[in-house]
Amino acid sequence: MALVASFRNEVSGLEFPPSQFVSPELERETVDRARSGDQQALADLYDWYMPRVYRYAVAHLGNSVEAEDLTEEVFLKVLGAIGDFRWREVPFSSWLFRIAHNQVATHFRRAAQRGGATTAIPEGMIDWRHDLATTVEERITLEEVRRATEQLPDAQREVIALRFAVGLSIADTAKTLGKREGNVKALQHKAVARLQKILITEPGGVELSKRL
Amino acid sequence: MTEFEARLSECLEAMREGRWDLDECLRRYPQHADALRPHLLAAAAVAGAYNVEPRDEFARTARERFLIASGQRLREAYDREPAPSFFAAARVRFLMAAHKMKRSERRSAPRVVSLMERHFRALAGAAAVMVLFLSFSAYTVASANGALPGDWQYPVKLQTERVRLALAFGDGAKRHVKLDIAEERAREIERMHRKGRIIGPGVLDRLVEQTKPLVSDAGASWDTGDLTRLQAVTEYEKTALQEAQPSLDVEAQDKLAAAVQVMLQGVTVSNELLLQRDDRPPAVLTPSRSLSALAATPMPTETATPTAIESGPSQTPEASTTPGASPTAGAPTTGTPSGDVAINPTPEKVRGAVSWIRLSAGRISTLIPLPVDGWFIAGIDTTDGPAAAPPLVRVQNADGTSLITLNTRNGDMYWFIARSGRFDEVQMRIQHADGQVYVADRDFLRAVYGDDAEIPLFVFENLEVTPPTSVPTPTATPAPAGTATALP
Repeated sequence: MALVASFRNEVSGLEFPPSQFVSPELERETVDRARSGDQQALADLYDWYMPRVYRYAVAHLGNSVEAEDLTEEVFLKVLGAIGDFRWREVPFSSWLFRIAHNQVATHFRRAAQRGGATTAIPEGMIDWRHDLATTVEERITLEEVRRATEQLPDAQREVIALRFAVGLSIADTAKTLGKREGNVKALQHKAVARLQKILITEPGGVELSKRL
Repeated sequence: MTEFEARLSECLEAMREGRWDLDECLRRYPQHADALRPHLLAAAAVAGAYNVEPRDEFARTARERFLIASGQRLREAYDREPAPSFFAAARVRFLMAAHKMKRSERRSAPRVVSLMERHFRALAGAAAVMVLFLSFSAYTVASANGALPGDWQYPVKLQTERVRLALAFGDGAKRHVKLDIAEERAREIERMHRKGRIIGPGVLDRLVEQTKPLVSDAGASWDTGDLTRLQAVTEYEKTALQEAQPSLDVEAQDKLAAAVQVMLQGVTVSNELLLQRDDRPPAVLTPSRSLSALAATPMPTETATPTAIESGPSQTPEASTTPGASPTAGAPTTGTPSGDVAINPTPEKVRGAVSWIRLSAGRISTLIPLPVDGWFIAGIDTTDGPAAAPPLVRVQNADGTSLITLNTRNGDMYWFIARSGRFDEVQMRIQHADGQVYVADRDFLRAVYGDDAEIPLFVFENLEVTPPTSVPTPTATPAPAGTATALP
């Protein structure tokens, strides 16, 4: 089984993605330097955002190989478009994840044209860095989550990916999606309620409560 | 928004930012605790499942590619310092296009390049390499991938290839690019010939320069896919060169034989390596060595044996047939023009532990092993006297792992060998439509099939084909199926 994350009852063990990895001031300065062609600034932005873009891709594609490809494509798009970025519109993260969102949409459109679907995660593809022996009974797999989120409407799934895979705030998620914050909160609530139901109570669910 | 939605959102945000934990959240909102708990746990479970790290290898190589694309290693990619006017957006687009080419691993159709709008930069150099880019909106490099030698865009195409090579990480990836480039050189020759352009020696030089290192490098460390590709590419190159011969200028004509030799070596090397692989597909080995060339270097055999000679479309009995060794009395030596099958049961030769008797049928005559040595002729019964020669005579071993077919009307010889769970088809001797005869390379067969090849080789070496006395009726030997594999 491809196990991807530990999950414990202890709140300290709840693993949300890091929310703030760099100060807003530093991010702004770095983005401005990148816009003027500073390659070190571009590299910094890449280092800061690449894991989150990758997680966003994994949340949507559930396949690490395709997620890797999509991650690269997103950053190449960013390179080509960063000169057009303007602060007055949206935060940089929202701008970047709009690009990611468009790439995901493109990916699924192409997959539909090919008649192929995204494949499941091959065994061993995920780089699992935790102690398998002690946490094997306590995890929810990425595949389980992917199957559960597949049952959500697109808008809810997008909110879940941006909030829990990327770690965007409600405000930034709203700006990324072009929605109001209240709308995002409602979508988040519906999605979490549905996931809770699927993961805990439905037949074939992963019996989350027993693992907690 | 309901109060519960607000509390859930507040808790999730606080937990995401690391300000609260689950207990703190439940403690703050005891009236919602029962409902909040499963929601928060489900959310945390999802977040935990998503909290994956990219593979180290991906993280490293993807960053490297990103840095190249961002221009940090532009100098390395171009092997020159970009001029200030070659500003960031332009080189990003150029490199992105190169990157996309690398990923697509295109093999066949040259990409169609549409309008070029803006002239960004002349890459300085003795050749005045020009790089044109398409519109800002399209991430397409302006190197005309369909450019041919002599076109003004051709240097751009070569430069793009160098960038592709620089962007390829690892031996395998670089090899793929090199094979792509080698194939493209052959495709250029094919297109130049088709367009009626004169092909100069430089074109051949570039093809050889691209192919020779690949052939030298091919070895056991290559995976089967790469070897198969090298085999296909070198075969394609060879064919393209031979077909383009009328378009070569005088200097290029002088270089043709040496160039073809490099391609042949590539086919040979890849064949040898491939045929020893367990994971290769069944092969069809097609001879590419003409019989006239073979005649120039007579076959060494342990016993004096006749060599089948047949050449050219204009066959005459005087020119095309070499008499065999002194036949055993009563045995026909050059087939039975009457069309009957004749088998002389008296062994004519002994080679190793095998006794050989003469078989004559239609236009062919050769030696085959005695049944007592484990070989028999299938489908012919001569017990009641001469039988009419069938189009194909089949000689096979007792366990059915080796089958030789002889075409009694044109002398074509096939050998089917079941080995290591595969069934290969070896075309030992094939007469093409133009009358030219091609034969297998004995050394190659021995290298690949070892002792299994000895019986078919001896049959082949003793094969004599009588020229037709009248207008021949072409008879098709069963068409080979499966993977086309050239045999030098």
